[in-house]
Amino acid sequence: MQLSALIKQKSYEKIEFLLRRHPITFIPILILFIILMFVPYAVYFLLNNIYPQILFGNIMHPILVLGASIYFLSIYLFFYAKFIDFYLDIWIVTNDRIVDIEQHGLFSRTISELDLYRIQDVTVNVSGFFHTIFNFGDLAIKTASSNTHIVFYNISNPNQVREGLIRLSEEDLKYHHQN
Amino acid sequence: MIFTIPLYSFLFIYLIFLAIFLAFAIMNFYHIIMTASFTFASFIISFFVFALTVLTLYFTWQIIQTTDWQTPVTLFDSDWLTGSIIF
Repeated sequence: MQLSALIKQKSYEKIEFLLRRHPITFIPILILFIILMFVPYAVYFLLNNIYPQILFGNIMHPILVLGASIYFLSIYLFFYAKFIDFYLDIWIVTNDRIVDIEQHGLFSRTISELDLYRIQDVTVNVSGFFHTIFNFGDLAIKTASSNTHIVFYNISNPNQVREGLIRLSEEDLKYHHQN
Repeated sequence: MIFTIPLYSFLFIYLIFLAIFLAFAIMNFYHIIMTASFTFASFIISFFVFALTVLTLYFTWQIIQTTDWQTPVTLFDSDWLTGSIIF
């Protein structure tokens, strides 16, 4: 599926920003994945030193191998699901609106939209050591008329995006006043 | 009284797990396609997961292919309670 089909892009619309979380925010999951990958080797090492007969018995050996296989496959699935959760949070800014697509686990997705001319306040929050070093943070967008509140979580160059949003919002506001 | 099951019962459990694994993996990939997120990054991760899965299944098969799956596995033996047999 194309992005234009996903957001039902209008003929006059142009995609200005396509934003996802900064890749560095996925590193803790990667580290956890690597640690979990080493657990069976640690268990094997322990069993081999304490109960070596368990590992090579006619019955226990295939059961342990199947168990280890299930464990590894579960980790891959966990890692893939976490990646989906991370990668499928998408914020699309066009010259007309903002589309906020947030994936929550495998079975829940929230999609909300906000017209650019309704933007009242754009706040950037970059706090923390890694956030400052790698220049990523949250960008919160508020409107005056409703309780609509969209947050772009952990995006790269949030200040640059904020400036772009303000510029686009002003242009959209001018267009709506003229018509 | 002795209660035993054949070793291949564990293979059935494994196959059920594989079916669930496959369903979830396909669902993940479907999400990537349906949200227009099939990019280089998602391709690399999908390929990585797929390659690891194939390798794991291959090595699992390599290790257990000589197993005699008809071997009975004792789940319960009343002698364990009477103390006639200590493992």
